[in-house]
Amino acid sequence: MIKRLFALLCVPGMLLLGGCDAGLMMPLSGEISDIELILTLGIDRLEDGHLEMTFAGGEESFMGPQDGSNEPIIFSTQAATLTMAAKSAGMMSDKNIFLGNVEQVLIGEELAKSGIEGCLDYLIRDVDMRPGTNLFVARGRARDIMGGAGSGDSVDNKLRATLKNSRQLSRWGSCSLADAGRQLFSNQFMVIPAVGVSDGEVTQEGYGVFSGQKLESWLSDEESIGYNLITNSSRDDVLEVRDLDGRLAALNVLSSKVKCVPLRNGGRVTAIDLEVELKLSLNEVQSRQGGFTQRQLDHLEEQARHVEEGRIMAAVDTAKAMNSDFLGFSRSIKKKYPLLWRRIEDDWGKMFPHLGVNIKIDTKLERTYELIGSAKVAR
Amino acid sequence: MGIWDKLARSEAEKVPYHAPKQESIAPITAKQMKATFQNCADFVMRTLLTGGDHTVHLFYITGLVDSKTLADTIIRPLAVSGIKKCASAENIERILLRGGVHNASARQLSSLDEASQAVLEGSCVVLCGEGRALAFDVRSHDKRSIGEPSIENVVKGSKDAFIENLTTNLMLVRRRIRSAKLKTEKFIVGRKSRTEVMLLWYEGLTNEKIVREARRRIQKIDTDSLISTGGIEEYICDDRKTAFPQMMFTERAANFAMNIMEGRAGVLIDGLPLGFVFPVMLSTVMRAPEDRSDNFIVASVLSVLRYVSLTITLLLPGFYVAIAAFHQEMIPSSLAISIIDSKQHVPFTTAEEAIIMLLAFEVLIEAGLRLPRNIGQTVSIIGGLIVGQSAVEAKLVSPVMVIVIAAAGITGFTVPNQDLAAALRLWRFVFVVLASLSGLFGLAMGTAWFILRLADIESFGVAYLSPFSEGNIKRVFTRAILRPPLWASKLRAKELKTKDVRSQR
Repeated sequence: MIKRLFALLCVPGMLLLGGCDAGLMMPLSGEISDIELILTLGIDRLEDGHLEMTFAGGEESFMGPQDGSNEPIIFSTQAATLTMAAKSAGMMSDKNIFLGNVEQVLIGEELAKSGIEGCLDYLIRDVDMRPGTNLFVARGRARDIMGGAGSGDSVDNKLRATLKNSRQLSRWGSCSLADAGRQLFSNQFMVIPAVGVSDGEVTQEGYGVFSGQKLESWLSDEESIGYNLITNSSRDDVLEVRDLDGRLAALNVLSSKVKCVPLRNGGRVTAIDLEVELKLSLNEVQSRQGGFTQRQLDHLEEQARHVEEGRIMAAVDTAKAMNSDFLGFSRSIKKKYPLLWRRIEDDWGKMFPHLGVNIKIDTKLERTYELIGSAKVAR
Repeated sequence: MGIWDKLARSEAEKVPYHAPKQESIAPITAKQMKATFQNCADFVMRTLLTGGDHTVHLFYITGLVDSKTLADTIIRPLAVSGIKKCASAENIERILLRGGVHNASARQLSSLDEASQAVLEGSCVVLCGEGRALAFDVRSHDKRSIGEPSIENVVKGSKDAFIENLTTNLMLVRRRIRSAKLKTEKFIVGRKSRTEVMLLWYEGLTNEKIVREARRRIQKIDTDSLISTGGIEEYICDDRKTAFPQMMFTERAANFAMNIMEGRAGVLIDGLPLGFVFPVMLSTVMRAPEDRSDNFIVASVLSVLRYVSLTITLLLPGFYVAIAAFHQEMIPSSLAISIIDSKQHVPFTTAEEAIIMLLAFEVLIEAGLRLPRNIGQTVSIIGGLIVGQSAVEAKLVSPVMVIVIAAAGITGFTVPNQDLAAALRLWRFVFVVLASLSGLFGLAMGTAWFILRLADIESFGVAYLSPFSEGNIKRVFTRAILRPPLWASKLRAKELKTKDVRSQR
């Protein structure tokens, strides 16, 4: 009896809960071979106010011409809304355009400047799109970048490679659709990595900083590194400094950790202390002879401190100049002094440009490349 | 009432049931014996003259008796002993019973049926006079020699396997359990085949309820013959409508004895080179015979691997169908591209492909089993490699599907029990069909159904899913998934409710 009851409950459940397709009881299946797999999606705003969606597949031949060239096709559709543009794309292929495997979304500069709230909302709500899809803002038109980078290898592969390479030097980063949505809808400042194209290759272009839903400014390389340092997104970096004899030395950043400590005085925040802990290793000194002395090592640490301070200050100065707290100082205040934050929250925009920022960098040269002992032993 | 009950009843209604005849109490006479074995060319009736005019009649079946034993232990003593001086049937019977012949066993017979049965069992029936007959065991012991197991290969461990002779099989078990507490009870099953079935258990260890229930179920079997394993398995199991094994068969005497010592009961059947042990749980049939011989760390890793393989063999084809037809966004892009590329120009849907390939796989297995061993291997090569490769090249199936089905098939071979492996193969089809109907939702529903079905099974009162169903993770790992060190396994399985729970100090 129980088994029959269970079966009676299961069968309608399978029919009703299996899918959302209107008109059909059963969920709609779609053969994997009948779908056109889109890996990179670009969205631009045109001069006439229309939206342009650019679709790019992988490097495999299914998306490209059937002449064996393996050149992926990039095609665009234009419409007043994204829904219409996406539907129009379906008419350009005998297969179903499938956005479930999109790995990168490029937002064109014009669209970013005019506001991306509607676009981001559409992408996040799309049932097929993955929340972890990487979001980029294009320096120029997204379609141009996808077209310019799409020769030889696919734009998807190039973007993926660029993203992977960004870990080598902390001048860039990643931002997912879900992260961007969270930042936008919780009234935080969005910082989205920017891409460009040069000689058919995708290039890292720092970050695009948004104020609300609109692109406000771009961060230079120096500022981007500073941003990564302050937000603890810095993974790996190399500092090129000069030693006492004026020769170039390469210091590998083993780890960097920044603690943001707000200082209060009564009912107001007076300054922010950025306590930076930097661990380095000396990897190379051009034409150096003989062992390292304590003085030389101290000098290198001092040089590294100087470089990193410059980078951090560049990011802080830009943030202040834009009056855009994309570095997340307000989050630190909110976390440490929640009641105080409630009082100053409305005036934060006025307070932020005048906020004092103290940088304290603790640099430790952990090791050199000398086999006779570590830096500590040498000292 | 299930479909099989309905079918059985509707068919049986057309043919009246004849209850077994009451045992004939007619007196044993030579005429009656001849009449009983009329038209049996191998039946022999020999008349020997004793003292005076008195004669004794010998009845036996050639082939069933050992002629040398018959001549040495019965005919020769009859010819030379003091029996010649006896004039009455009563005296002859008395002397024969008390050592007049040199046979180890002597049994008085009281009815014609009893005498006929004794002849059919390989005894020589000596009719001293009307109604006075004795049976002497002179059965021939022509049998296959004890060999290595054919389906339970072992590297470390004894290699003697059961043969078709019940006495030998019993001897193999007794050699391992040299205790008078190993009890055996003989049953005759099959009204016409009269097959000997032996129930074995260890007194003071095996739960009496299990023994009583097994005895009741064996006695209840009322069929003409017991020739195959199903003749006992299907009649005495708890749930007759499931493909999952509720008794574990083994061809290794060591494995059989080990299970008896764990508190299970066993059944040996004359004519079958297998022994059955019960009750069993899923965790029992997932144990390989060699688990106890291997190092416990190695055995544990292999055991975990077996459970992983079970999951793969059961769910992989269904999972692939679900994600390829419903949830493409779950597939990593690079893999999705490979799948799409491999499926280009294949005329079948993923579900159709999966079902076709699974059927082809079953056909290959069946063909390999039915054919002689050498040709069977050829079928595997032709079917698996040549036809498979050609099918892929002809774009009839995608290479990814071949890999999925092959992976499911190969992982299925790691399941130690063939009955369980066959049941899993059937369920695999169910999962593919459900996945093709509603993707992962169907697969999840199928999994729930599968677990509920397993939870519904009992083997002689023991839950089939124990210890998984107990909700005790520690016991699940120590009793089912891992193989604990032998020195740490001090207690017998709780589920068996053995009288003696502790197995070592």
